[in-house]
Amino acid sequence: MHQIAIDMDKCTGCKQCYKTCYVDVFRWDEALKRPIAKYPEECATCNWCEITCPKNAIEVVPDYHMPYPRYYPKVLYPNTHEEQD
Amino acid sequence: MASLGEEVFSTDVLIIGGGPAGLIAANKIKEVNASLDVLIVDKAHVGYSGGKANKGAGVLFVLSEDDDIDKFREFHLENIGHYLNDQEMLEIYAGATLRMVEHFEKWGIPVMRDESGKLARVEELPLWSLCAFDLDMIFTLRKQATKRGVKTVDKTQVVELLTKGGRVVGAVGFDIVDGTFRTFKAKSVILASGSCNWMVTNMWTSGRGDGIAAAYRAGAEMRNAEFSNFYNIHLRGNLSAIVGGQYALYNNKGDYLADKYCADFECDIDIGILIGMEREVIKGNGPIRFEPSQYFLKNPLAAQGFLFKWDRPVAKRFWETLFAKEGRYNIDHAPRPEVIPGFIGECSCVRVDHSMKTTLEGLWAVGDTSHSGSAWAGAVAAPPGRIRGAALMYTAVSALLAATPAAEHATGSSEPHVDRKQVERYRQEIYAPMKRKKGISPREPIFELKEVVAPPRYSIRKSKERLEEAIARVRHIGEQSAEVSPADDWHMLGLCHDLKNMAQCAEIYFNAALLRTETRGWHYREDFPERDDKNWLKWTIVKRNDQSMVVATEDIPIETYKSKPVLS
Repeated sequence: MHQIAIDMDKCTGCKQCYKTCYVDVFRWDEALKRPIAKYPEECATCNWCEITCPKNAIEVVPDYHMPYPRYYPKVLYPNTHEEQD
Repeated sequence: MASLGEEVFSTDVLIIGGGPAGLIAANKIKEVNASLDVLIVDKAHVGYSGGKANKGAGVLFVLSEDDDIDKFREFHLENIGHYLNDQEMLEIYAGATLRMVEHFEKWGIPVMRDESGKLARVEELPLWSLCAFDLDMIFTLRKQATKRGVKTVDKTQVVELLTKGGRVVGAVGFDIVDGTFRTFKAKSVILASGSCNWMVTNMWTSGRGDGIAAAYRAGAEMRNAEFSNFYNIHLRGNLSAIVGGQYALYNNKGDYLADKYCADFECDIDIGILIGMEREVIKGNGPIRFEPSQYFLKNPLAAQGFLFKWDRPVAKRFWETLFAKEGRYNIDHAPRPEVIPGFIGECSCVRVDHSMKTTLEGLWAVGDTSHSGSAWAGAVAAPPGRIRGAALMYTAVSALLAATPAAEHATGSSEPHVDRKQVERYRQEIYAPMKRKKGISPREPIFELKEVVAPPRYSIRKSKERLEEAIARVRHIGEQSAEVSPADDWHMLGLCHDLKNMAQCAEIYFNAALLRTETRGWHYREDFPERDDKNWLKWTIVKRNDQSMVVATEDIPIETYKSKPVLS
């Protein structure tokens, strides 16, 4: 799973990350004025939340093990040298 | 579930989608007639990301003052579109690109030029200019729109178009944060909601075909849907696209694949290498590997060619951050890393005429929603249709072309009246999944759907047998949208609708592919491997009739066009 690490001490509640995310990863806590990375499964690892944060409070950590549709599954391509999960 | 809020909006022009297409249309409409009310609705925040617009190279295809439109047309017909193009639309589009550059520069978005002031070019692509703008252009477009009084509604997923007497009169949707039901009444509606990429490749994940499926359900025609199968070469270790990577691939015997499967020069990736990769794997010569030292040799689109060539601070930051992450977290560190067929998709099939009007009165479709449906690009998976920079430029030009007719239609129309029974019926359907407290998560059938659209045996090497299998699987997955549960979560309700829309787009795509019994451009049929100009100078049309999906063909008016293929 991709990780979106937010340093809540550095964060000033400007909402740029919340507005910039195009796939609804974030929710906004109005009381605390802080973002919540509620749906990290949607993360496209575009890094725009990280780039747009004026305080460098966000780090996106991609997970390239995330499930991907099988392009040459062994059961259909017995001669492939590759095993896919 | 607490009782839901409800809001009704009334506007002259409703634009569904706040990316560059929507914002350019809005800005142009306000230029044409400042007194018109224009409202943009978006699933995210209007003008803060623009879907995939700020996640690519930011390049622009332009036919500059030095370029010859006839030479471009001939090149395109012979090498890319294979005479499936609407040649008039090709000329309108290509001819408007310079005017679009003037608009960008007028609106405060610099377009890259060389020292002499001419639009930037790539030497190996002599027939057009490949220039660019920086990736913050979406913010500038938003600021322009705000200054002009364009209204916006954010975090709202539009689900259905409203129709009355055969005319589109608005849309309905819900707030993905708090579930508020929203009705939008409008005299003109512009669909700018992107393409369908079935959530396979990360940067393209936002295109979920919601606008395409809504237009289909409202009765709009779809055209060229069989060309929804764009792929790049991707590194397995970090799923990144290597644009132009087809010239740097080897099988496990050390054979150089481009010799067998690529033309000596290609302006961009063609389907041959993807057919070849699968063939090699079938023979036992996989995995296919990428040789980094080859990458820059034959490749006009190698990274330095357009990513870092110009002074673009935002693009530089974006790409440097991305490359650093892809390097640091890569899970394949072999000297010759493995590559995979990276499915992008790009179903963009809403049919439009030369002013971007769909087959429904009151509805226009621009940007990625109608790129293939405009037929300017012919027999190629589009956007970008084997011309990098054509995607963003079509997004812009199509919005420009739609603006005046949509504005005039609104000016000449009476107040839109919605059918209250239709609104109520759609409301019930939109929220129906929320009644299911238990059930499978929509994420499971969404992944199953990816396993049908993405693999090359369905989307590259097509055949009657596999297409029928794909359609059956996709229909079954679509039926599961009646069983999924959003578990009381508005974001998950959005995914439930995404599932339904993506399954519908897949069905449209595969049915169009099944219909075309020939091979042409990016449509490769293993069972019909030859191009058939005698029988197939036709477009495929997919449409809803009653509740059924109906396919038909339409003759291309080739006799009226400037160029005709030589019939063998």
